[in-house]
Amino acid sequence: MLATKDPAASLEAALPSPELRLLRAYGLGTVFALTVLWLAAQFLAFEPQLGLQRVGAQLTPMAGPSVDHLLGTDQLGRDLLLRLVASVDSFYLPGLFAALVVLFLSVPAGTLLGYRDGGLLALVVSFLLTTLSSWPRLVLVVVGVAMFTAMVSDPAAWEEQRLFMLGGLVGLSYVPDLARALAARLRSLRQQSFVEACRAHGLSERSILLRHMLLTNCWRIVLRHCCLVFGAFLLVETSLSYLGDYGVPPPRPSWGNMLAGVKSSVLTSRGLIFGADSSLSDGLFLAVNQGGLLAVLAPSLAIILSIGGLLALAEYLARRDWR
Amino acid sequence: MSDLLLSASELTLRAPIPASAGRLVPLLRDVALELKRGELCGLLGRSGSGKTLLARTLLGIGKVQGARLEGSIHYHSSANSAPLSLLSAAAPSPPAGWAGYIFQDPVAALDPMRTVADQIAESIALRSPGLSRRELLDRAEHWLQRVRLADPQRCGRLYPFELSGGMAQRVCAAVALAAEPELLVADEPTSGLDWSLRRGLVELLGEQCQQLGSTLLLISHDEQVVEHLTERVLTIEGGVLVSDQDGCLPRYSRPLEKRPEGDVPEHRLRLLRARGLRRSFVASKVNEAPVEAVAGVDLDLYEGELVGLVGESGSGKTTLGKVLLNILVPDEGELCFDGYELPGLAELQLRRLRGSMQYSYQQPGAALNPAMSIAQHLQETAQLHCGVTAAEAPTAALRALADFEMESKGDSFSGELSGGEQRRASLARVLMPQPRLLVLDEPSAGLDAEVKLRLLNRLRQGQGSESCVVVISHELELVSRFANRVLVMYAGRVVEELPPSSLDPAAAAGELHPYTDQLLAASFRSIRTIEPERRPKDPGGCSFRHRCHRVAPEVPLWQRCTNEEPVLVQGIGAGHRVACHLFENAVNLESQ
Repeated sequence: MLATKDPAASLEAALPSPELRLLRAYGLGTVFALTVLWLAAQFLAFEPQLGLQRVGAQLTPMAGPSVDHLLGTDQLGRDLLLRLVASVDSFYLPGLFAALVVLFLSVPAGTLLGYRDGGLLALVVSFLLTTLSSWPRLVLVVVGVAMFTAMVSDPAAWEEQRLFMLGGLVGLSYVPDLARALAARLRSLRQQSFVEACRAHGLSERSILLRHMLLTNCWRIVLRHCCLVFGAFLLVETSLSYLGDYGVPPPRPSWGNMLAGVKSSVLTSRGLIFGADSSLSDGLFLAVNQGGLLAVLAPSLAIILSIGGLLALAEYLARRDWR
Repeated sequence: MSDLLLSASELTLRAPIPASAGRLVPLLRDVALELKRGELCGLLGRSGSGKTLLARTLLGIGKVQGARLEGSIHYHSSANSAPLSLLSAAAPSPPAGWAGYIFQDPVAALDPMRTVADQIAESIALRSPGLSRRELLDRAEHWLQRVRLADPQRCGRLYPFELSGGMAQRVCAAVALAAEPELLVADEPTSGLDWSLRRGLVELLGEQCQQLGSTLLLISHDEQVVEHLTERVLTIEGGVLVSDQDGCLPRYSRPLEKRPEGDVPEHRLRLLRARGLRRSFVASKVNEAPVEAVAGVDLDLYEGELVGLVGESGSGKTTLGKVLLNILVPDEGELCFDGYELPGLAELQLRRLRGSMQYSYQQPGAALNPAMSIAQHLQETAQLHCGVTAAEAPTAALRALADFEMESKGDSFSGELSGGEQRRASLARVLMPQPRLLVLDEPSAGLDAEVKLRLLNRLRQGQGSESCVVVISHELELVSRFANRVLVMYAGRVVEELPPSSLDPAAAAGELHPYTDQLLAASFRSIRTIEPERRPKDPGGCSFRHRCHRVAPEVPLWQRCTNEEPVLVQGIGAGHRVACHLFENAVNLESQ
């Protein structure tokens, strides 16, 4: 509260604390890494080792790390690292689409609810948002995708579209959250005297709303929700791909279906590591080389680190004390 | 027992500032200082000189991120002789509540979700733990009484946002004093207070500190405030303590030039005509009647005029200022600016007119978007009102900043500026379109004497042409030197209009409205009780009669004062009009 009068406090705002800097580095690093991996994935589309096409070469399933396969191979002998990178392609653009859906639906809805009071349109929008948020998120997404799958004649041909549909639905399920947060922010901004001063200064309502309220004072709420939605989409996509029906269908790779394929390796690896007949380090060595431990760990870590990074960025945007 | 309380030596604070790109810049340099117990000490300096930073560093509050502090600060306890270092983490810390701080912005420093009494009780509990809640609240009430708030019981139940500026300042004082601190720091406690309360508050702080045996460190840019109270004055400039002396002060202000008399042009064009303006606000309590902040004002403003609007806080000055520019739409009345009827004017037309009528807000930072830089604000204004293209806008903004010596601050955000700099930035913004009617609400609050002088001289230069400036202020001296015409407001009405030369404390009794008499006297008298602002709509009669010192129920005139509302009539001498039954009689007698 005292920040406006206190030079010391504004210095604090200019220099984030080490904790915040860590969050920012992790978050931005994740976004950067995902983008680089997505670009790399574009060049991998025709790589035979990915297993998208049938090849004549002899494949070794569950091989350990080697020079040919840096992380080893999966249960069908496909290169783990390549599939890990190629998986980014299955959520990157649909995830961005989800964020765009939130952006383009929530900002007008939030403005309508927060900038002015009342009106029939605001009532209708508010009703729609309440209806939307009363649906459990996953149910909304699954039912939507199921309906889509039932409607198209050849689901295999509509795979890509289904992923974007998924993105749209995840985005839609987050529209009430951002719209409400934005409306609340606008309502509090509206009370501040600088808005009255802008009006007294002769600014139009449009530039007060766009420049003084949305662009300068609300952008980080919007960006924060976009990060959250991207993370949420990644979670939904990998969950559905793991479960099988509505996610990314094999042979196309996704972190979710990669995990699904090596489910049994978890038990095998456990048996090898904690088995009675060898030491712990020998067991670990065996688990990595024969038990497919990396095939389980690599996609799991990829999911955890990516979602964690996106949440960290969102957290950074929420906690940084902006001017 | 030593009488030393706090000593600091070779105190240097280096911190990265936004403009320095991570480089450490010394903000305080080699400060050495000793504070004795029970001393009343002033800390004087211009805005941005490091007054607040020094006080905060001494108390160890509001640490600056990435800052490096060198030197030593020691706290000398009255009981044991070894001084405690406040900078080392290993040393035992002084007793809780040994120091109190009254913040510059009183409302912001109070917790908005808790009542006043609750917050004072918290301070009391710091010193005397184990008291029951009932006792705590009783003592809180006692403290409200000690800072001279009328009706302490009612005040205690209020929330900070229900307080007027003056009341909030006193509540803050009560919160700080209730912990019975050994050292009380008051950071610009008088900014934004009206002049009849300012001196009172400072004296109150001094008196209470003496009763408690506490040391008072009074931070201010206003040498009159400091001089009035303190025995010793420290002066700080650019983070360096430049002088430490008893009594006599270094003067960095020149007196205002006296305005030449009779320079008001004869044939002037009327810019604004207001008739029967009224504006009321819904009361904060459900069952109370709406408060009429402006209760029927007739006013004409002419080109080339400098008008002063004075009155105590709560008299409706600010509301009138906003209503005149149609920022607050009047409930009733006519308002005509330059031929346009303002209420009901189409929005687009009103917006075009806004360039020629500007309002400068009382709180210096209030008019600035906290997330937009100062230069961006000015570029926006240049494009909006000065017909400047986007490419030329940065140059125009820089020129406007240079007028206020703020060139280096263009990229700053309002939160990074000191109060005085915020004020200059908002003034640059409202002056940029060269408005024909300019309303300045307390323009000198937060400005040091030199900047104030430059601002006023600049306004006076512009005055020769065709603009009209209305200055709302509680500084009678400033208004009387600066304005051509002074309006006195009480309870939403203009009760007197007079030439500035009549605004003289030596004026004979009976020449001025009794309220103006009291205002003039109050600026020289000490402590007054503030009444909580409660002003129900008066059904008739003079609203000032209960405070009037010249009429009482025994006087025959009282009947008229209760039943009949006085209107502005010709008073004594040219340019003097007054709304008081006493004067109607006097004039009638004269004419007979």
